[in-house]
Amino acid sequence: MGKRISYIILASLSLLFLTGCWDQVQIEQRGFVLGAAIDLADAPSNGDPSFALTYQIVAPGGLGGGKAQGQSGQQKPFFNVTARGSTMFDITRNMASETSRTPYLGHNQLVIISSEVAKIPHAFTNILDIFLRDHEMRRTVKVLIAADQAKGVLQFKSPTAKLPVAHIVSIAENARKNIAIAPPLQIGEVHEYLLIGRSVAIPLITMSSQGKKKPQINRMAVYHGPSERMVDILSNEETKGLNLIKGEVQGGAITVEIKGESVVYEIRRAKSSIVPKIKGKDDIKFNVKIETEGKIAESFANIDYRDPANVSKVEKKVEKELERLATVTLEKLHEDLQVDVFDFARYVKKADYQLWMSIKEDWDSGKNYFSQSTISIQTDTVVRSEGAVIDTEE
Amino acid sequence: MKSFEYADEEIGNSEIGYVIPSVVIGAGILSLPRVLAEGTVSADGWLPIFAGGGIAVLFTWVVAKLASRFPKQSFLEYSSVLVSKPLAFVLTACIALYFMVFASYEIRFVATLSQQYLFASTPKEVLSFVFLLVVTYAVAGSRVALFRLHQLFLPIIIGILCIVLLMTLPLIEVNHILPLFKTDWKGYLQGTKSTLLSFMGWGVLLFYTGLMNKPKKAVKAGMIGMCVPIILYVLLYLAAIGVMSNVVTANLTYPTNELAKVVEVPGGFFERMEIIFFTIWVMALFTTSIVFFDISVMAINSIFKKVKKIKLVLILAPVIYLMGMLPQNRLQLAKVSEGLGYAGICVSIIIPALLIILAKFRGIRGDG
Repeated sequence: MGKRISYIILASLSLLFLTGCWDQVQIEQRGFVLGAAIDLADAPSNGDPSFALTYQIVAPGGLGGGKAQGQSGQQKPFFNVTARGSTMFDITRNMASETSRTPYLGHNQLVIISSEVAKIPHAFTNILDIFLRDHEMRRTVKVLIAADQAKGVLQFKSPTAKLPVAHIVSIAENARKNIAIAPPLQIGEVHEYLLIGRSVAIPLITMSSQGKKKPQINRMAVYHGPSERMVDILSNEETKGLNLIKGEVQGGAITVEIKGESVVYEIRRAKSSIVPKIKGKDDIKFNVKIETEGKIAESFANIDYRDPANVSKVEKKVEKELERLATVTLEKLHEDLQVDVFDFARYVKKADYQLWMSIKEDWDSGKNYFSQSTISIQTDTVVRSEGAVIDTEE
Repeated sequence: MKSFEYADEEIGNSEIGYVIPSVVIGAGILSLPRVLAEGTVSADGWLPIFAGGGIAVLFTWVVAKLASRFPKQSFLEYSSVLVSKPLAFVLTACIALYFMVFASYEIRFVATLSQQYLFASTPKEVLSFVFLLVVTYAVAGSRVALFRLHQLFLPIIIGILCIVLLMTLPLIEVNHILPLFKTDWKGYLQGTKSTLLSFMGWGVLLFYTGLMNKPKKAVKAGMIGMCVPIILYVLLYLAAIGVMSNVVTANLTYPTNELAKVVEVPGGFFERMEIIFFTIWVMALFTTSIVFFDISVMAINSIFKKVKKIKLVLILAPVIYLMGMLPQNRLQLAKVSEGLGYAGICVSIIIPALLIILAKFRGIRGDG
């Protein structure tokens, strides 16, 4: 009898320890944050800037099929919460006083920082700290810079996706279709650049002004590592050139003029090889070779592509155009801004580690050895196919 | 006809082969890539792992050789032959204390880590206590059963680690690994030291070899067992550097964990690889803890022969628990780990080396 009682006591005691009741969070109390947007709070405080943080939180009721409950058809599938403060953690805690669901960041996919904030020295780094430090966060979160207000990006109504964040993430992943879209930049990669104090180009999200507002990602913001702030925004063409030089193009179209009419060359595969030639601190040369393969996607000009001479004419034109894009970019970044977002530094480090250690503090700041280097561009284009028809008109 | 293999409380050589990697893969695997990346340039850290591992294998050989000279004898028995009885008592007591502190460290570490990643508001005292209960339950039973547990758990731990490693392959950037061999000798030396410290664990052979039915085979089994974590650590280190680069790895508290968080199954239907990963590191810490606890029981039992094993287990468990609760924060815990490393050099390198020299010099053999 005594044994049985002690078993019962033991079993009930184990309930106390095995249920893990300290940390249980009911799923309906958890606010799954999908995206975060950081703006400058309008109240200008003395000294440190204060920020406005917006979280986009899923409201699962609005996501369902719609017929589950009578009213759920009208419910929005998400809601945005904004709070202000001087540190991110502070803001998150302030937010707890406003929402019924406590923000949970384990499923966060996106961090958007307004360019206004990114231009303040150190602010960008300080903001990203919590997104890296907190154990809930993942290092695969995508980072974007908003040209205007970051919060506005999370508010637009997407025609296809139920959640604005899902819409933005799928644009960011469209790198195969457009030269200006680089593969999405993850916070883990940004962390690396911040740690080594080097510059990086961050995809820029803009809201188109004409007609219905919708987000676009076709440019890049230039973040200068040594001064820890964003310095400029690249134009669409410069962004294309940057992606070509970095070899991050996965697909896209180049339009050239032949006989006064447009011919579109579709890039199917592109790569770039950068070969450094280093003779000393002041004599650093980079040979950049951009190679593309593709097909003729559209031709307004009436040309017989069965003739190799015509095909090579297109190839030549495309090569010229690629070279022009790369040169435009170099003019801006190499000569004008003198910021190395191409990651040429990595090639110097690989080729001559000793030299790199002696100049790394002055690479794209101070003495700026980067701006003193010479960069030459070579392009090579191959047309693999001319499409399904020979001609569409006589 | 073969009788029931484990009824005689003896173990074969494969059990020893399993127990070594099982002990070595513990707390160190989570932070080792960071420690190595701090001192070395790009991916040069694989060299110190092999160097530290080489030393570890060498001393595994020393310890196994020493212990297998005296088949079916306990550490106390053969060390009293070598260095007189009183000194042998002191040595055994010291080693018992070392393994107890080590066990308490592991138990505290499991609480600290799971509090950080999994249960933010559960008190660490409770986490440690629950973990210790399971460990105590394991140790209280048959000793040979523990070896079966290692054979059961180790393939799971290694299997999952290999899956994580395999999935990091597409994420590795060659740029992170180059340039090669740019570290100065100081960096290599420091890396070798930290690797060696995290490989501490072959000392268990001092005690477990006595249980073997064919002690001569302990040498080979132990050395093969030691090679498993070395290879695993090199691959893990290279994956961490290749995916996250040297400078990031050096700035992450537990790079191995972050690596598991970066990994995603293609197609996006299974994102949370770290959940499985958490499971296996709790298992890894469990297998390490039970060995250390068991060895301390074994050592003390050899001093007090008349006390029953179960009594000792029940006396030691609260002591280990209280010791584990002493450090106030992670920095102090790191201090404990450092101290354990240096104590480990004494227990696993200096003492066995001295004893084997004595044994050779005086020509003492336990098997006649």
